[in-house]
Order: sequence, then C-alpha cells, then structure tokens
Amino acid sequence: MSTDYSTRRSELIKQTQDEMAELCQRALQAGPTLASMANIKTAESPHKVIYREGKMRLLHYKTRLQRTHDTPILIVYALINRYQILDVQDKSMVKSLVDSGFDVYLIDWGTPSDSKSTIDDYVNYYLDAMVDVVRKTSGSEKVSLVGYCMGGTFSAIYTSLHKSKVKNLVTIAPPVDCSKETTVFGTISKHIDIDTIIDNLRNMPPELQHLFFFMLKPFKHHIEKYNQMVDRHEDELFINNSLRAERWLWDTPPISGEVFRQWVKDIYQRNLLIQNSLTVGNNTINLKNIDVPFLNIVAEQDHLVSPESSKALNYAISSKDRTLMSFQTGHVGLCASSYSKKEIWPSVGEWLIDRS
Amino acid sequence: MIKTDISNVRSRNSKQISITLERGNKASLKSEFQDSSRLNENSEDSSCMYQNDRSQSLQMSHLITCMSRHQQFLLRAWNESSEQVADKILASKKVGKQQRRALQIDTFERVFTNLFCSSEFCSNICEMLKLQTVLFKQSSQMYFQVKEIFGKIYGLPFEEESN
Repeated sequence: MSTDYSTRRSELIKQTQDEMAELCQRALQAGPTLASMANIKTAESPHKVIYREGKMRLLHYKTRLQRTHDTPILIVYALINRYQILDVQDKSMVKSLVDSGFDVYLIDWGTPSDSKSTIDDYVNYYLDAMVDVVRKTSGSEKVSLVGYCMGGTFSAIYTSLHKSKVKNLVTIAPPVDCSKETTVFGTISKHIDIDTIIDNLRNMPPELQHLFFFMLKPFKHHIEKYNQMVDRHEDELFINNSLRAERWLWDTPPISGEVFRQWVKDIYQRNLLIQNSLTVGNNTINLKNIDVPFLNIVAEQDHLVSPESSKALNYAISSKDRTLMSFQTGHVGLCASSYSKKEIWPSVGEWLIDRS
Repeated sequence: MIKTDISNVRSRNSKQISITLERGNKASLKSEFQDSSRLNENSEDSSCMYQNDRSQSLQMSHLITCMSRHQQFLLRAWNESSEQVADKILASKKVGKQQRRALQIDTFERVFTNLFCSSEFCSNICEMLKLQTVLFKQSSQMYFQVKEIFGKIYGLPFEEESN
C-alpha cells in the first residue's frame, strides 16, 4: 500500500467520522425543536366510543356510505404504541375498510392501569367482551378479526378458544414461531431477564421500549430522518407528515408487566405457541382449533417481526381456506404507507368481501 | 407487685431504671427481652446491610464493566463503518456530496444493525439492563438513554481496548 493511498485513506476515515458526528449532533439538536412543535393535530376517521373497560375503549367508525357486508370487522391493535398508526391521514387502513362498505370497530387498549393483566385477561376477558359488544351492536353472530402484530397473535389465540364467534381471521405480521426470529427483538428476547425487569419496574416502561426501537434502524430512523427534516424544513407537507409520525412514535404507553412477562417468556423465549403448549388461563392453546377462513399478511422487509415467524401460522392451523399474502414492504409499511393504501388494503378488502 | 431493677441492661445510660411489673404480666418483661434481642438483630441488620452494600458495590462494578464493553462494541462499529466508507470512496471514481452521505448512512446502518442483532451485544446490553434495573429501580436512570446514544458514541472519552 503506497503512502499516498494510506494517507488518503486515513483522511477519508477522519472526514467520514467528522461528517457522521456532525449529522449525529444535528439530529440530537433537532430533537428539542421538534418536541416544542407539539401542536400537530392527528386527524382520525370519525368514530364514537361505544364501550369502555377501564382505560380501554371500543371505537365504532361512522360512515355515510351504505354498509354492504354483513360481517363486522373488529381491528385488534398491538399493546405497543397506539392505534392511530392504523388511521393515518390519506393512508388509513381503517378508512380503506370503511370505504369498502364494512362496519368497522377498533380496540384502543389505552394506557394500562394495572400491571397484573395477563394474556388470559387480554384475550378471554377484554377481547372477548369487545367481541360481544360488536356482535350485539351489529346484530351479527360472528365478527371478522383483523389483528396487527401482537394483536394478530392475540386474535389467533382468541380464535383458537372462541371460534364460534369468529367468521374470518386476518393477521398482520403476528409473531408466532419465534425460533425463526432474526430481528433485534428476537435476539434481545433470548437474553433479556424479563423477571428482574418486571419484578423491579412492574410494567415495561416506554424508555426501554424506545431503546429497543432505537436499535432497529439506528442511522436511518434516528439520524438521517432528523437531518432530512432539518434539510426540508420549508416543505410544510413533509414536515407535518413527519411530525405526525414522530408523535405516534414517541407516544408510547407502558405495557402491563405480567402480560409482557408472559409474552417474552412463553411466546419468544420458550416458543410455546407454535408448539401448541401455551397456557392461557385454564386452557392450553392448540392452533389446530383454528378452522375459520384465514388470511395472513406479512412484510418481506419486516425488521420488527421476521416474516418467517408469521408465516408459520399458515401451516399450524387447520383451516381449509387459508391465504398468505406477502408484500415487499416493512412492518409499519403494511398498514400506514402509500404502498399499503394502493396495494395491500384493496387486496385484503376483496378477500374479506368474498367471505363477509 | 415486684420491682425489677434492669439497670444492668441499660448500664450504658448510667442511671437506675426501675420498672414495675404486675405479677403474672409477662408481656412487658417479654417486650424488654425482645428489645434486648433486637439489639442482636440490629447487629445482624448491620452485617446484612454491609453485605448488601458489598453486593451493590459488586453489581455496580459489574455494570461498569458491561458499560465499558458496550462502549467498545460501539467504538469498534464506529471505526469499522468509517473504514468501509473510506474504502468504498477510494474504490469509486467520483462520489458527490449527496452520494457520500447516502453511502455513509447505508454503511453505518448495516454495520450497526449487524452489531445490534448479534448475540454478544444483546447479551451484554441485557446484563446492563438487569443491573441498572436492580440498582436504580427505575428506568429513567438508565444509562443507555435513546436520545443520548450518539452523543455518547462521539462525546465520551473512549478508552481504547487493551488488546
């Protein structure tokens, strides 16, 4: 290696480090400015709250269109961050389903008021109560469950136990076979001492969730994103959309301690669900009990839940009518992107229309 | 009525203390014995506290080791990313400013994501989290604060690994 080459290389390394440090500092400085712009309003599809359970709410979406399908849809969101990501302006999954003529309901889990609720409480008490309210309100004996991420896993567990109330099951990127997890979450969960954390902190606090989010795409999501916002600060539409996304990203309620303990230990570490060995209340979950029409939606570029973990559900159930739709997008891109509006939700709508 | 002199028990107070006991009322007497036995318990408490302090001190020491390892992971990735960027720039004919930034972000992202997905890094960070949780009992005092990480990567006086 010539001296010139070696010198040039050293200069480039130094230059790269200086430039990256500047980008990092700039992103860090952008934070407080962005935080002060709190007056960003998120527009949600019109709805009314038809049921409350503690801080949980069941939303019923309004429409001026005639509802043309008999089976109502109940959307089951995850316990991580809030449901508004499913109802993002002009990319709204909720609006897409409402505009397709469905009677749509959604569970807002709210902020947990206790740390003791387990998967059993969430599935057999809260979710079951919400399903019953939807059945009563709509006059339909059965509902179509549409579960996102953790909500997808809960919906599958629910269907295995209460299939008489479920007409169709749609899961979006559900963690199922965690032996196939290769994401940061998957690796972290193998090592985390969840007992010590929950025993001491009671709930899974937002700060720790942010830490794990941060590790997912550190430079693209936490450095370049903020630099883009600084660079494009005069582009009002871009800034408003970005700030809305920021608001969702940092609006993180704690996760109830016991449900998170069981989630990490039984679903991720012991991988009990796919082995039909997960205990929920007095029941052992057997995924073979699921025999309703089933649609599984996965993202090939999902960095939160490995698509292979989700796909396993298609082979674990006994439904004759089962479909796997795989899309070239990421986890959030499945439900809140121009791509999902154009490609995913029309396909899901068609699948549901044929079965509702 | 009997009179009991317990001056020996409280001799350090160097004054005579008399208590009056009703015959058959052992409760008060028992409580005195309990008080004196509590002195022993207290001495055991002190020992226990000492052990707790020692255990905390060991945990803190372990935490510092983990934090140091954590910083070294990050520093290594930081250097490796910079070297890869330099090599890519040297291998290409001309790289514009925008291309260079994209190259930097992509390269750093890939190297750091590989690091964050590694078992070695995750097991260390989980150990840090466990120790911090036990020591501080609250998440707000977590060393590894999200918004500060890159400030720490660049701003902390890293110590180079000895071998």
